Amino acid sequence: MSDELDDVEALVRGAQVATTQEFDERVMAAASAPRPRMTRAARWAAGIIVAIAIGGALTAAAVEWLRGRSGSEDGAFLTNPVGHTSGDSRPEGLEPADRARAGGIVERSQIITKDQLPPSLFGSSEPEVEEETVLSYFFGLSPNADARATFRDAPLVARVRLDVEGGSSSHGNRVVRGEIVALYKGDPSLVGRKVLLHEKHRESRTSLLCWGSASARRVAAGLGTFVMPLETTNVGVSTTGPIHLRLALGEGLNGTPVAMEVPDRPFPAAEDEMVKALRDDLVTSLANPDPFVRVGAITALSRWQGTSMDESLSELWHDSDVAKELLGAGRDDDPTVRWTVANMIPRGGRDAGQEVLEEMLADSDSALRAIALGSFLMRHAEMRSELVSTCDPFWDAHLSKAGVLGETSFFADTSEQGLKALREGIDPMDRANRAWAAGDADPTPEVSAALIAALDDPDFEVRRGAAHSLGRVGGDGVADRLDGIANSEDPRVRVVSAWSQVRLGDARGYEHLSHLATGSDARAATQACAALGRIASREAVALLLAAARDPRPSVRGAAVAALAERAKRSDAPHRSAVEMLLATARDDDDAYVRTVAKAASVWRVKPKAIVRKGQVEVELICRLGYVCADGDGSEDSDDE
Amino acid sequence: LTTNGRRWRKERSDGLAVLYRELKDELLTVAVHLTGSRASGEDLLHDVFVAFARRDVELDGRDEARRYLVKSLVHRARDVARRHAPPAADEGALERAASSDSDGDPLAHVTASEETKRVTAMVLALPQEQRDVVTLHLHGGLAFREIAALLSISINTATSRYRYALLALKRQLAPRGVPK
Repeated sequence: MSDELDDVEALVRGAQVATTQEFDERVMAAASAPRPRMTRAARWAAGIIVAIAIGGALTAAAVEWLRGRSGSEDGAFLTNPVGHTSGDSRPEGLEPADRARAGGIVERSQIITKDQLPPSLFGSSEPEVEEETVLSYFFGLSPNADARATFRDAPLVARVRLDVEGGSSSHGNRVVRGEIVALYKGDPSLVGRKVLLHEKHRESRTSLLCWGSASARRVAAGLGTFVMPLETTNVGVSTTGPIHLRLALGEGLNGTPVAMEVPDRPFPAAEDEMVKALRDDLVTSLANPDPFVRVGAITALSRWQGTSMDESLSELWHDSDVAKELLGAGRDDDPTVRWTVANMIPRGGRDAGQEVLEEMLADSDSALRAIALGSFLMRHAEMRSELVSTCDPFWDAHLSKAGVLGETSFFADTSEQGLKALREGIDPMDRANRAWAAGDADPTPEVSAALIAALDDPDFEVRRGAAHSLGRVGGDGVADRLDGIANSEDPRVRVVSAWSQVRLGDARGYEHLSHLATGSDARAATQACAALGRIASREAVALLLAAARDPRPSVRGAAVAALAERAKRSDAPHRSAVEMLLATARDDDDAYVRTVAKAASVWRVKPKAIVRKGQVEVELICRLGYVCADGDGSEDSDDE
Repeated sequence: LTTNGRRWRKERSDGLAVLYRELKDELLTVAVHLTGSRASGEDLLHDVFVAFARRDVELDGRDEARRYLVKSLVHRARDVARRHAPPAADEGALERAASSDSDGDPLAHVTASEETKRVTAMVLALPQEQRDVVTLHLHGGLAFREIAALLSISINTATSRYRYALLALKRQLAPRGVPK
């Protein structure tokens, strides 16, 4: 090629599309997974077919030979000289003991972690909700339809028993402790490990501090939106006394785990059979003597997605047997079960369970009436003002705060009435819910205008929600409007506002984040660090390195966590400095910072050791929460 | 597994990891150029590499592995194209294809190498037959002889497509200048 084109050649050669860390991990996980093997039945079948083929061929050959030898025409005196071969009868997958511990469903399974799933599954982009754990698989929750569709394929990874404690973190998040009681898609030895989780921030407004045990009851009723974030800023947890409430949301029931195998190819018929069997098991569990199991069954069914070839929840209601069982649970002796049914009925479609719902509206249990009212209003929003007045004032007020009565406001309501309620509603909690939820709406000028107006709301949470949602829906002049409040607002609003600016591609948001990360408000600095951790630039990493030396442990911890996440990329800037910092932070004076650094070291410092140990599983646990095992994960790796 | 079996698996896994680390960007570039979108390119590379990992292929060294994988990408891309209709035009695809971390990380989008994005977009705008030759030669490291065999064209055709492609790129770059 002539010299004149050498420059072009060099330019094109240098323009390489870089892979992402997520993609690399996905490829390597798949590449290093064991090759798919035939099932035992398939091996038998194949063995028999081969044997028959060989037998047939040999028989034919023998017949030919004998014909030639004896002159017989039919060879009818012959018997088959070749017997069947039995095939390889070795068990597949795990050893039998492991298989029993893992619930017997790990054969042919492919370990899937959050990293291998589309980021849209974990759609939140709030700075303070950096990670949401695989627990979200349990509940089939997802912020958007695409993600819900993907959930059909997502396996459940772990079964976790959770205990809710009456307390909240410095962010107001409720503390949830749990224990892995079964791990279906990973290393069974992890069973029994403790995890520490937090409920999503949005739900914290129903925290126990606000309304006592009723919140726990609401959680038990399956009303909570349990998408668990890995909240790394859990310093300063203050408990007001344990409640010890066992949850059974979406767990495996009756010893039969709720799980779906990852199909070798999309939606094989066999999976449908499995899913149907699972559904039957859940329906059977509605008669379990343990009310928590019944609650779990109802909740799991209410999240039912089916498969592409299977039915949806609304079709479940059309199965008379299933509908009968579900509605029967609405008259359960246990109030928790009744509440759960009341909450799930609207998911079944326009008419499903209407009779039971109306019956519940007249129940003597005021909580049930309130929940049923919330469900009823999801179908008949126009009757809200008329019906709310019939509700018990105590439950009305508190359930409204919990978002039960205002359930509709958790969904993006972009109708004229909904946007008006966002601007002019009398309940600040309801306005805040609407403001946060509006981010899921399709971007329209009307939505943007309503959100911009909400930036001037007297309630801080409404402004914060509006700033968050504007980052999602965008619109003309939104970036400038967000920039306008950046210097005058509550620091926590400013963090969200700055992040929204970054989301909209406005580099001024980055400047604001950098100021907040070094500012005097510790909470804002913590959230700003989390946000900076998601920005791939040398400047952001440099700022985080500075923040990691902040005298405030919560800020240091947030910076270390953000750096650890960023440093997972092979092309991360300031790589050696980050590694050095992570090593130093493991000896930090503060226990929280040490914990964060150690958790980071599990996946960062010794990747080869982790691969031997089972990177996916370790990472899974890290993402579930802190590994509250004895000792240091990296030391465990050394033993390998 | 026996101890030897574990060791073999471990060594094999380590080797694959090294190979992947060395080749991933080149291979992804080829895949993206062959398919015209980052998402399809990633799918293609994923499938090819996983299939490669599961197959006991005896290859002598990195270059041979690269050639093997590049050829596999071409074959797989052809299979996929045969099975599926071409995707609908997506105006943002070119830019996204060039961005390594655009989803959920808008500032990365802003600060990513503008040069890389620009060049990738221009390459993706070339006619498919020219783009294939360019990417297979420059990113896949294949000789024109191999490209010709792979694409069932003559060597002369391969070289002239390559030259036309570079001239087209040069024309597009001309207003801004080709960096020396």
